[in-house]
Amino acid sequence: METKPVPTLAQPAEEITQRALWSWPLALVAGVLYALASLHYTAYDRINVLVVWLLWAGVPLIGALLSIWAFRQSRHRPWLFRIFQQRADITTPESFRRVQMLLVLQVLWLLFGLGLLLGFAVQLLITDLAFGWRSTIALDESVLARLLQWLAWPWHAWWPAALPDSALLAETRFQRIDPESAPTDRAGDWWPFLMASLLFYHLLPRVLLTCWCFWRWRRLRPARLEVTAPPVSPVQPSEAAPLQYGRLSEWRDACRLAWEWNDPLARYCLGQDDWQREEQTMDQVLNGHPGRLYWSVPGHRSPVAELADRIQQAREAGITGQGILVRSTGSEELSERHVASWQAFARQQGLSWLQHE
Amino acid sequence: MNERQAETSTTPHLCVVGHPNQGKSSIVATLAENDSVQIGVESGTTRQADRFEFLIDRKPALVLIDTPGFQRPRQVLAWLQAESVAPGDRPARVRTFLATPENRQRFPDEVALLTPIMAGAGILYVVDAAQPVTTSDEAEMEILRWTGMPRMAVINPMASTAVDPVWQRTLDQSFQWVRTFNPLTATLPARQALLRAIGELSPGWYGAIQRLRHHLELRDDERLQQVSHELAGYWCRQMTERQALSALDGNKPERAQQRLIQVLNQRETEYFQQLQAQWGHRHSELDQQPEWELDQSQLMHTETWYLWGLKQRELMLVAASAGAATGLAVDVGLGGSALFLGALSGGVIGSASGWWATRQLPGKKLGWLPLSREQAFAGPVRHPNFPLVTMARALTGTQQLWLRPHARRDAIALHAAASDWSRQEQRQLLQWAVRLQSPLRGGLRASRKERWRTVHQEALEHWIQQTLATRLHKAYQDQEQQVWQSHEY
Repeated sequence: METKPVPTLAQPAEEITQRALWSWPLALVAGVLYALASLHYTAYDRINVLVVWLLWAGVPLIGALLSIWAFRQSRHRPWLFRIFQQRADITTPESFRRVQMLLVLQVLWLLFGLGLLLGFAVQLLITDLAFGWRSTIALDESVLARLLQWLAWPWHAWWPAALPDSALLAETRFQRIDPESAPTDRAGDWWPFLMASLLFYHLLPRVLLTCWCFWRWRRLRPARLEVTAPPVSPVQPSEAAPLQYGRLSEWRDACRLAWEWNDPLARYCLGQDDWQREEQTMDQVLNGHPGRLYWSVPGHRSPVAELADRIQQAREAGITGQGILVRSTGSEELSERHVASWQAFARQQGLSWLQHE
Repeated sequence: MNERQAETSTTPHLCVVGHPNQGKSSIVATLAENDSVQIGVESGTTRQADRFEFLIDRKPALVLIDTPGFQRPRQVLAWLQAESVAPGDRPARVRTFLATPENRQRFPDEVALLTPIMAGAGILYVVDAAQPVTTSDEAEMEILRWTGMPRMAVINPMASTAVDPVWQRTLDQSFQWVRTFNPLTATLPARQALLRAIGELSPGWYGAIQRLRHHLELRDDERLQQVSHELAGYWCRQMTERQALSALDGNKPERAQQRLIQVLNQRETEYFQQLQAQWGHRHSELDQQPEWELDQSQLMHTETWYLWGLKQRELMLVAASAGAATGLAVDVGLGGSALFLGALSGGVIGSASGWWATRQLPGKKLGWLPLSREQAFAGPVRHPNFPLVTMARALTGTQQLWLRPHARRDAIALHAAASDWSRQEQRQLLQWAVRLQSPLRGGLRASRKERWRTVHQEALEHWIQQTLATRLHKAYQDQEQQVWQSHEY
């Protein structure tokens, strides 16, 4: 029987998760482009380090915190998957699928951040970046220094260079109406701070969220219980000759042998002794040189190769005509299954299928 | 599997052996939950030893080996007994039998079934036990005793449940356990009972089999959750299905109605085919259920669409956005001196224009631009019986597939049993259906309170899960009763 193709019920979550594989390199490239765009500046300008910090660390950190809130609160699909949701699909995903979608989202954001890091690293290698900071509210440099110290707390012990000092703040304050006034010596010294912020406020939260999603997904994932089976080969139809039918009344002169039951009408009963004693009985049968013989078999048993061996032995002894009579040995009727087995056997062995009139 | 592997492996291996046509392959099919196991009408369908591995997270927990039946047991026993051996040396004698080259040609079936046994597999001997014990049966049991491997007997009541008492006494002499197992009716409790007995055959097997039994239960729990979710999704889609009357239909709603019925049928068939594929019934034929009987007078509905197929609210939003964008362009052109009044007023004017367009009668045009149009639909089906019938058919069919043993080869005739739901449950289903269909009433959008929300879907899934669980629990209880009764010989 041919296996029918398996139709799938609408599972947008699964489709999106599979489709997301092409979006992973896209997220990486988007991150690189985002980095390049953020670090672009003209000859008489500087890169506003505070804006870059906001775009690379501040907003992503808020996004990560919002994600945590979304995990706990919402039972809908994550936002990216709702964009692709079919209009007619009003079902909400199972917990396992939802966590799977969240995992995909976190991986995409993580790849975006890695692209950002890659773009930044490349820019640091091949161009000169001039950073500055400016403010209209005329922030006191000491206030900004304290704020930066607080932001740099996670790494200040093992990467002191990534903590901007007061001198750096003083030398890199920039005003667009007077670009010449700001010294350029330390214009590039903000990069450790930006790099550390990118690592700790953008990538690290995303890594943690990704790991957490992955752990939840593993926990919710259904236990993989499967049963392997050998490949199915179709049952080959028998190539034996068609069944030959015969009337029992025409075989009255034949020698009747019972197989695996005590047929009172049989001359000999085989299949019930140990093999050595049965060999002697079979010799007796053959020494009688019957012209034909037929086997009276119990319908509830199945044909076996031992009977086939006896049939072959009789054939080799010159008995050309052999038949088979399937009997019910009790009150129950013969099952279709067993009759079919005996008929197949009769075809294979070239036996006449004997029936009462 | 060679001897070294068998000695070091803690994974239970079990050979299913016996006389031909005793139901060995049926038992394997039911235990392995796989209807691809070949069970022919004639005996001798199994020609070689087939392996079925139960994997938990890709690690084997149990290996079942389906073997061809004994074909020359008395001859093999005669060969084994040809030399006098001490009882302790009998397994070695069996190994000698397997190592003798001529025996591979002379006794291929016995070599095929004894090889994995002597490599460390246990024995599951299957008998019918309704007819008297024969010499061949005794020879088979004696050969298996000579192997010295853990072994149990399983009585497969193929013809009747009456067991010849001589069989019981005979089997007790040769096997550690004797169990009755009907592969055509066995559900999870019966399979679990058999697995428990298998686990007790050998001390090293208990842990692995317990782990398998535990995962089977876990798997069923997860399956119940998953099927409840899928059934709920299927039912929701049936409730909201509709077919638009197209130009090709030429004002003949019957065509759209026919398409609706076809889609409903197709979706139902796909739902059950999906379950079949997921639950290992890939090769079973499904008998089609009778077609849906839908009240034709309640099928046709109309809905008013506006420009580009938008509904009223959507058109107002789009118009407002377009107006705001135009106003914003003006603001930018003025350098922001208008303080975004352009965007604000553009949005208001756009929204008002959209509203005005929606007030026009269907068919009216603004120049060449059609303002609104009516669209006729067949469906969704609003007959009050439809939600109940749909759910009854789905639930009953799901239950049937769930409980169907994989050894059965007859076609799966899905039939909807008359539901025994309370009036409250029926009313709840109807309310859910109304809520699902409320956005599809032509005209204004359904209010927030009337809309289908996540909480409703969760309630529906929970109800389906509870209903299915109750039905399955009852079926399992009946099965457990039978298992206990059959042990009282």
